Amino acid sequence: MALHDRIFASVFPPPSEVDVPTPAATPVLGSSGFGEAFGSQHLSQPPIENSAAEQIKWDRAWHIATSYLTLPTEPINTNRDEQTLRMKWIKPVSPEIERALVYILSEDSRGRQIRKANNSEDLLRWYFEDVVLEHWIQHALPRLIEILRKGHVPEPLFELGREIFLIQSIYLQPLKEPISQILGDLGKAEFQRFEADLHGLFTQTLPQALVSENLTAFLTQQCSLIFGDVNGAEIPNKSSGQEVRQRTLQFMRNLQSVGLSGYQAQRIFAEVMSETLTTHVKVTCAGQWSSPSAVVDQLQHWVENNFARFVVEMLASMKDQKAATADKLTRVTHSDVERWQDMGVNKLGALRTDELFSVVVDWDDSRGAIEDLKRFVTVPASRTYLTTNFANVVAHRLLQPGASTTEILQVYISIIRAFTVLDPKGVLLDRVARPIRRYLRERDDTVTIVVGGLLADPENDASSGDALLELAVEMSKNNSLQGEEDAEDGELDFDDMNWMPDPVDAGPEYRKSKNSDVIGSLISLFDSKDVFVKEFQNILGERLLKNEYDFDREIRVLELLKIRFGESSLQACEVMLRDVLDSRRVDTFIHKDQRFGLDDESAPAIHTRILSHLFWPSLHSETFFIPPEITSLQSRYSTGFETLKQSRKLTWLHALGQVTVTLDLEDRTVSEEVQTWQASVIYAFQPTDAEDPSIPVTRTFDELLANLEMTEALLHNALTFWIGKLVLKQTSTSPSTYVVLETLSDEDAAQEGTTSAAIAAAAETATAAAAPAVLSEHEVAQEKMDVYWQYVIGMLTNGGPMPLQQIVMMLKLTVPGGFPFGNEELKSFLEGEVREGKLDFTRGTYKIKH
Amino acid sequence: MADFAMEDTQNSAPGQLTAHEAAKLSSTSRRQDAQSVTKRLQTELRQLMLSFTPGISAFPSSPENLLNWTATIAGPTDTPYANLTFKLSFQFPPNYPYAPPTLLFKTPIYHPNVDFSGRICLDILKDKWSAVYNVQSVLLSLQSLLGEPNNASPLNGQAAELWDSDPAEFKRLVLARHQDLDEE
Repeated sequence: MALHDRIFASVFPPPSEVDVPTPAATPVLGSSGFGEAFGSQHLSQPPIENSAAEQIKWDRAWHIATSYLTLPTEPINTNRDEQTLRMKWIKPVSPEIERALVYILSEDSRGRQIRKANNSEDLLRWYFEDVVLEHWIQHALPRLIEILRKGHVPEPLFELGREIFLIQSIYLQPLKEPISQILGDLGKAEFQRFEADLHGLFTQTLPQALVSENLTAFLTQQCSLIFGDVNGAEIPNKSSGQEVRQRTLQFMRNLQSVGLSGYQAQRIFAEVMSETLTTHVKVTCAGQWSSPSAVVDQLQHWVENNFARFVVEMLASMKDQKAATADKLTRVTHSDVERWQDMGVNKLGALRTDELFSVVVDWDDSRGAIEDLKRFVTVPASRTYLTTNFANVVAHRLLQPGASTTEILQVYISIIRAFTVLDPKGVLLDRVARPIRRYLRERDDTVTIVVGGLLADPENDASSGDALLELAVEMSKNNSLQGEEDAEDGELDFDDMNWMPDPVDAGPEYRKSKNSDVIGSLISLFDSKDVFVKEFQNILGERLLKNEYDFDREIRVLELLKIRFGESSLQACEVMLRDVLDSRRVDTFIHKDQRFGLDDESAPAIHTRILSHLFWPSLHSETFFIPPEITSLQSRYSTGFETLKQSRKLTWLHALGQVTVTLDLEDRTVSEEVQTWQASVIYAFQPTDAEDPSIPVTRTFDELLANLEMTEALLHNALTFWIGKLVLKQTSTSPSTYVVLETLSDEDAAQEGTTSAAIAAAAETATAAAAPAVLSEHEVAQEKMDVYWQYVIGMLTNGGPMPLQQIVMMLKLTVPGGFPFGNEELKSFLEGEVREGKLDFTRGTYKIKH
Repeated sequence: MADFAMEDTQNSAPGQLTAHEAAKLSSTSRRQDAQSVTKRLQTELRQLMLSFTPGISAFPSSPENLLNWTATIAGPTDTPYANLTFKLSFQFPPNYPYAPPTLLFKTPIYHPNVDFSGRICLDILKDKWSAVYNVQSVLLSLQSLLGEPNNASPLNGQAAELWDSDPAEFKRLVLARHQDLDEE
């Protein structure tokens, strides 16, 4: 290696190698100016008197000066302390050197005057191009780039800052000490020119991308340290924060002094500060939703006192001290601070918008967040941003099959409340609510849940999480009525001095009243009130039949709905309510009239609800055997009714109603509130006269079925109920036989609630007890089967035998409103008719039997 | 037979449009017509199904086209047609109920007002038609026509004569001509 170098050097002497003594008559190699052939100055010199001696003198001085200015060909090791560096890199200026420099540079010197004409042999230019440039490229730059490559850690950057600063001061040293003194007034200008050249060199040669990248990373890190917005939320103690700050400022000053704090650096700084603001908002404000919210004020305070102060300091250290004219870009005014505060609020707004869904779900523990947002949604752009963003989140998180209708409704209610606070005009709500409303209309059970919620009792039903208790609570506030009425005719009231036009960004169908209150919004979900009224009628019927005579809530809901839908559409409900209320009066009267309970103390008491059949939804009308005592009571009651209300007739609906049954068993008395059919079943276990009362009564399933004229399902349900109550016991399964448990053995008692059978029975008991009074839609459809049967008869009479598929197709086409059953349901129905002998089924086709 | 020409005019529906009139109907109005006809026929079917009148019944023949129906009439007791059933086809015009449906006996029948092709002479199916008539009323009229033929304007002259002169022979011819259509 060494040999190779030597051979190479013998052919191409290293250009700045000036240690080699040079003949005094010959200029140093490479010392010729630009554009001149080597040694050409001899030819271009005008023949001047004494020129040879002068030339020699010049050459000697040149030699001395260049030797002085040459730098060692090795990297500047900045790890050494300054003293060592000085020793090594800064050569003392001897009188001889000074004389030589003076001779070459001074305007007065003879040699300079000779060469001034053609402006050749500029020592400073030579120094810059041949010494500094060489050294920078060869030795300094690679080291710096290496430091930059390490990247993303602050220490190397500090190092870099220091190193480049030192390098510059070494490069500048000769100009500072001897040369600028020699040059006098000119020296200062020369120095600045030289410095500017150096800065240009640094900026041009250091790789831009690397520098920006490192600077960005560095500043980000420093800022997070200074402002304590590290994501780990570890807040540095004040002194260390202060220290970091000082170091950063020092670093920026270094950069500034080597000319690296130009436009580029300022842009990076601006970006980093914007990012810092975002991070700060995120770290300090996320999840801070408590009300009243001080977040915005805190943020503004922080921007003014911390953020802006740091920016001012940074800009001051980045500013070019020598440029005396105040640079517009680097001066911070009060309006700048205000702009930053606005930026902070905007960033907070963006954060809150992202959080909005959670905010709404947490309502109203999150009122503070909405208050923050209020400061944000002041311009159309931010309003659009908020609604678009939120609508997307809602569509993604809420309006999907995974969410139950109750959940959607609950969130919708929260949205209504939150947005009413956010934007009392309701424009934002209007925009956000539309997709939700559209979606809710598609769900089948929305009506049921809304009506159920309206009628729910917040105190008693609190345990069942299913109901929309929100609505019931809202109802009880009772203030929504007034607001609705006001809003209704608001547009037409020409005397309204407080009238305001719709907000500018309101949609074309915007109506303030539409979404103003929770209940109104939900009720108005349905374009046709019929759906709603029908559902309300069903649920109302259910409740009227189940409850005692306390219907305050129902009456209030009815009144509310009347305001919205008009009296006429709710007439049926009105009648239903009146029926039930009148029933009590009529009941009392008939009791008095027929002297119920007076003649026979032991007879069971009977009370009725008298319903106007036409106005009620379809009710269960199954018939079954009723104990004779009750039947006689019923007929007496009917007589009483018919004398009271001429030309009216009572039809008893056996399946509806409650019975209080008291069973005197040998060792205990059981008292239960049960359904009518359950009472009939247990009555069947009453010992007949022929039976020995001392033996527990036994009945088989088939006996019961025949005697009670009940459907199997109903009987089974009732038996399970009584088994669950430990009154009956199944003794055998084929044939199913049941016996009364006159005495409850320990074993049986222990069984209660422990065996799986008992649990299953209890579960079934619960469902049995909850059997609804009003027929469900499906059951109604079942009743319509009779009508469809007529269609089938007509079809088969006229069209001849048909396969099932064709019958279904014909029914789907011909039945108005569509045929609600599928192939299987129709098939089982038709098979029933075949069994009854009305149809023949041969070779896959059905045929009428004549 | 002399009354062939007359038959043709009698059996062509008077409400039928001339070519000129038909051209005036734009496609949209025709579609609306089709909808209203369908609706009307559905309603009629529903009424018919709900009011179950003994002795008559009718139903669309195919699920594709509601304009074609098949009807069944039971012969009234105390008439030569007792215990017989007759099938008819209904063809509703697109402008029903403003024009009468075209009816044909599918079951061969011996009757003064019905010819051997099954064509019927009944005033309400021709010039006396009104939009208040419907399938049910038409079928009821036909049922009563079985018991009380209009012998003043017969399509089957022999039957008209025999109706009054020789009821026994009439009954024999009725039974001879009748044969049940279905059970294919």
